Amino acid sequence: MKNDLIDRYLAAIGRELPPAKRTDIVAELRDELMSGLEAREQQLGRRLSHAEQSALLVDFGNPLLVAGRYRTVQHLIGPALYPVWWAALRASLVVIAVVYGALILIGLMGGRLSVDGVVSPLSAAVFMTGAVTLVFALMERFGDPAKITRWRPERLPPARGKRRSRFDLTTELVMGVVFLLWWIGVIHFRDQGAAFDTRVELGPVWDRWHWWIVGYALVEIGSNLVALARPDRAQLVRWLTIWRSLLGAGILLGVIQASHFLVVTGPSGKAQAFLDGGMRLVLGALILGFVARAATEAWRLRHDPDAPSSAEVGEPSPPAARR
Amino acid sequence: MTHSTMAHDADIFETLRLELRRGSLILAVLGQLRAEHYGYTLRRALADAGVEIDEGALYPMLRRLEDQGLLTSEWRVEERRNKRFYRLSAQGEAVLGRLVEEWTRLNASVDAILRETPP
Repeated sequence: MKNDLIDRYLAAIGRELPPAKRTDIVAELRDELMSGLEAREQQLGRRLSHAEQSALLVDFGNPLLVAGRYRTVQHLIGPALYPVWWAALRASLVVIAVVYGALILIGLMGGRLSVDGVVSPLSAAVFMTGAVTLVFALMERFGDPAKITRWRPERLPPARGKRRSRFDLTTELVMGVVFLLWWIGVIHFRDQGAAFDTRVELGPVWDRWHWWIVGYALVEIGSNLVALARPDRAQLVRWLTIWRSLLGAGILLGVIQASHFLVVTGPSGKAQAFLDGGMRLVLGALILGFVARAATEAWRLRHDPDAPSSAEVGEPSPPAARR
Repeated sequence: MTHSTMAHDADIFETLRLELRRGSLILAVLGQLRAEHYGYTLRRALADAGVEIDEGALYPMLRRLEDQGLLTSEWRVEERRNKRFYRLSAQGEAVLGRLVEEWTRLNASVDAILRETPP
């Protein structure tokens, strides 16, 4: 009976240890525990009570923690990859929030849309958190974090001038990919058609601009990839942003000429005029947004203290050239 | 000073103290293992010398140092129980020599900085 607690304690530690080392480690810990126990009993001149043995084991530590200290790898994602993992996770969760926010908005406007195969925003967020963490844990375990986080001072963005954060860029990149996949039909949005028996679909005008919109999405993804991979190419990124903003404004100026943007079928006849009116406002705001962005980037291009001359567009300027 | 500020300061001190001790513990263990010891007597010898180390930290450290080739070990029966005895290996002695040099140099430098009269 005397060693029952110790046996159970050591067995609990043993279960958490690799089989090849288990017997050896447990034998050594048993000796340590028994030596400590016997020394204490000798000091007191009597056997330790059950409660005193229990306190001795509590002092020794939680079996999970004691066994954990023998593991070669004691973390899932180490300090080198942690900031990258955190940025990727935040960006993924923002994308999910935006996609589901859009679905709720569309739902409020008339139809009830959902992404095929995805049960709820919560399960999508939990799945995404698990998937991103798994990818980074595998990179940590089998990849070379030093290689993954390798960098060159020359590729750092210019010190002055306003720039978008990597988080913003990653979020926009992932959202661009989700939009493109939806637009070309890889991800399906399904009209559940339950609300008021109304069905909402995109109008024919969008078909006419289909490939222009694909082109815009590709330019946007490319521009964000360049901004992420080569932050030193600040001027090139500004030019790409101006071009794609003007392209976006041009496409939407073409689209806004149409009389219908959505086709509403079902008994809710009034919804057609309401949705078209709402869409016209949204498109107008988007056009203004594109133009404003192109203008802002053009202004920054001229006034950015790091801006090279037009002949050097896309190349970082050497300090001497700026003096 | 409020109670919570004092507790916070104590936490900071404890964290820094542990960081300060971490590297020197390895040096103390290697130094103590110039003579053969098993885990329990090693811990007692270190404690008698003023270096307290808990079992949870000591045994995984011994195993790691042995995997790195700095220690050798053998199982022997003593006092009716099977015990694992550790001792510094030849490689361990060489590494300890270099670590002691580094420790002495660093100690002297830090000591000089701390004794300097601030301007």
